Amino acid sequence: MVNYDQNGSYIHKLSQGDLRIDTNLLITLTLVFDVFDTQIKIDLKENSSLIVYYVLKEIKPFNFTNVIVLEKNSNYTGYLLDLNEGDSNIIIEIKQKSLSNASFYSGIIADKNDKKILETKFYNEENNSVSYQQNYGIVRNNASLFIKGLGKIEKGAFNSNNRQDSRLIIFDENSKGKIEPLLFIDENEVQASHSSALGRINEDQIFYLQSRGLSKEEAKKTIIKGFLAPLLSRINNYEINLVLKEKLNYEF
Amino acid sequence: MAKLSIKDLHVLVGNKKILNGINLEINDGEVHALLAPNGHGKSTLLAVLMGNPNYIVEKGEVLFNGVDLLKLSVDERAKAGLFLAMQYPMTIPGVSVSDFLKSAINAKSEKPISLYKFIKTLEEACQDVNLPLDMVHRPVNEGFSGGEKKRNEILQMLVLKPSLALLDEIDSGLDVDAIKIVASAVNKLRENPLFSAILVSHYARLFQLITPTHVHIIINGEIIANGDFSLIEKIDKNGYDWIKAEYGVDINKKVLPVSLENCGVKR
Repeated sequence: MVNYDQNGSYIHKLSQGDLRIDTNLLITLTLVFDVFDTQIKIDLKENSSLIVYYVLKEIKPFNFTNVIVLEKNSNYTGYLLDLNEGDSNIIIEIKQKSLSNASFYSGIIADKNDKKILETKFYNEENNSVSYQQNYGIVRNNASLFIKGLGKIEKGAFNSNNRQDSRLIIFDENSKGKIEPLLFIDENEVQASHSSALGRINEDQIFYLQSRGLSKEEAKKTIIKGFLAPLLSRINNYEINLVLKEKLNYEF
Repeated sequence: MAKLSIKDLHVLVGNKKILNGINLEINDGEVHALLAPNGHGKSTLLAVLMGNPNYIVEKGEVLFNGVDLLKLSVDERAKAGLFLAMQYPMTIPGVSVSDFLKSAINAKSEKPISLYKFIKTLEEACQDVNLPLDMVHRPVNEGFSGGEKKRNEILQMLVLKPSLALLDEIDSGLDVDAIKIVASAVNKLRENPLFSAILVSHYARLFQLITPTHVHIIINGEIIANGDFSLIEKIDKNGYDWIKAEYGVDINKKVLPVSLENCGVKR
């Protein structure tokens, strides 16, 4: 168990274990993963706030489960980018007590035969809890990506809000992409919604960019960067920026 | 040797033949106007020259400065000096005009452009097409009006300085003042004696502002008449009906899909 009892920014290399954020704290955490299988549980005590940047190094395959429990009036924001080569199976499970607020943003590129799965589970267990997730996926070169988003508002969690948005672009006929949003609602006075968009890359965009001198590969990278821009513009983290620069030649 | 030499070019879209043996030569400093009724192959010719993969070249030869253009990829054609200002420019969400142009400039040069030079270049080009400089921070063509899209095409042309510009109906959707601005930007590039262009438009007004050195009429995918500005004046005055009498060519009207009935309309 790692117990955070002072405000601040921390970088942590992790394999597995539990983290606890004490009450009334504001913590920014950069989690760097360098082992294949990782399970982490994070407890956010009352009135605490946590921003997590998940930084994935070159690990093949990558299996990761993160359970986050938000006590009353706590806040969680997570940013996860999986631009690695290799298969991955990522599970984010969030359990929210009353007046808590959870936001999760992800960007995943599945390339060169990768098989990747992102499974999110947001449980609004008590009243006035708000959850939001936004997932971006790119599938190319015979790869596959499955985004499965579960939102469940439990009985008694009135005035809660559960929303998920997912976008996925598929670059070629041999690649497969799927988005499966699921919402289970057991309370009347709530808001819940989802949106999903899945489509092939627009060849006319590639032609347009090429007609200005960009190679086909540069054109595709430019479209990827543009597609991820709403997500990347939110991220301000040195470790993730290094990964972006290396993988996408993306500079802030 | 001509800068651009097109010989007996035949082009298909799907199974439909669009170009039926185009022959055309363009030299440095020349501006060629292409006129045709809708659907006769003007835009197709420009798209094929740029390498749009939706078009299939059935036969023919295109040499650009002696190089077989048809063997080059789209970006290789751009790097060789071609530029296509599109009738319907694409939107690229999330990619700013500035980032896009920087990538395009760097793709064409051996050394990356310095930030100072890049900003100066953008400032000048924005002034030339009368667009505010902060527009370059917006995603490419996203939320642009029709006129802004066209001016953005010309802005890109000014920055990339092609040796052969293919301008596809750059005047459509522009108001009178904007046409003057766009024409003035094209004429600025014409100050370079090596610059040439193929200019497609339906309207004499644009050709009055950008005076072509040569004028061609395309009918049914073939160039059936070559001439000077007087050809444009004749079309502007009489339309295309005189073509049959003078050249013995039937104009195949564009076949549009027939709408049998409206559905889903609330009355």
